[in-house]
Amino acid sequence: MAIKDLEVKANDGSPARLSDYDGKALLVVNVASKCGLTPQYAALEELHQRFGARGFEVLGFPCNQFGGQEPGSAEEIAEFCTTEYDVTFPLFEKIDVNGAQQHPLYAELTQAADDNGEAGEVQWNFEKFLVSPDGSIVGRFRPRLEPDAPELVAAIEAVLPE
Amino acid sequence: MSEAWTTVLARDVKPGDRVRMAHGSELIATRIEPNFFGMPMLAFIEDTPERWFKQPAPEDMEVEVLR
Repeated sequence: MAIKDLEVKANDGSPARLSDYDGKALLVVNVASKCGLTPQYAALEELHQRFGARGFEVLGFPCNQFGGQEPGSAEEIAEFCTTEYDVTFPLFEKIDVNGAQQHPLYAELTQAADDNGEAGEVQWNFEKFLVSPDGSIVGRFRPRLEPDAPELVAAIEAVLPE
Repeated sequence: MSEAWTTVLARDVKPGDRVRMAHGSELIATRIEPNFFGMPMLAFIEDTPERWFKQPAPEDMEVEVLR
């Protein structure tokens, strides 16, 4: 199934589709509020601001599978992101990104390999998948790579529609 | 004989152990990933039909196990 045909839920529980972002480049990130990597929210928001007008969106999917570092409710997560990091990019309902209850979106995303040729399970919070405007998964970036790393920024610029 | 929690170093945890961390969280270590993030750490992974959960720990950290 194509990535953009998949159903997701917004962080308020309302149904949504990735096709809502048709024609845009997407950076899909599993996020957590109590992780050592949580400050990456700031650089993710900067990417969202920097490239948003050129057809780019960051999509955040909270996940509590890594050290239990995303324990809060949807409301608590949204409030944290807004108050601590001024996040304006879309946040979705908390999901599983690995395992038997893996969300179909991540069943697709985790088939993509990183630069070392490794596909499979998400390693930790803040793994990043770059999806091109046509819905192809064109990049996978591991959690410790900062969102403003030159290789990630270059990959985004290479797929921007405008 | 009743089961009892015993304290071991993280490096001595075996697949199948139920592990309790110092902060109280528990998981069944169905898999153990070495060199988490390229550091001297392990990551215990519970990968069962009911739950997938990953918890890293320094190799020399004490944890409790139930075998």
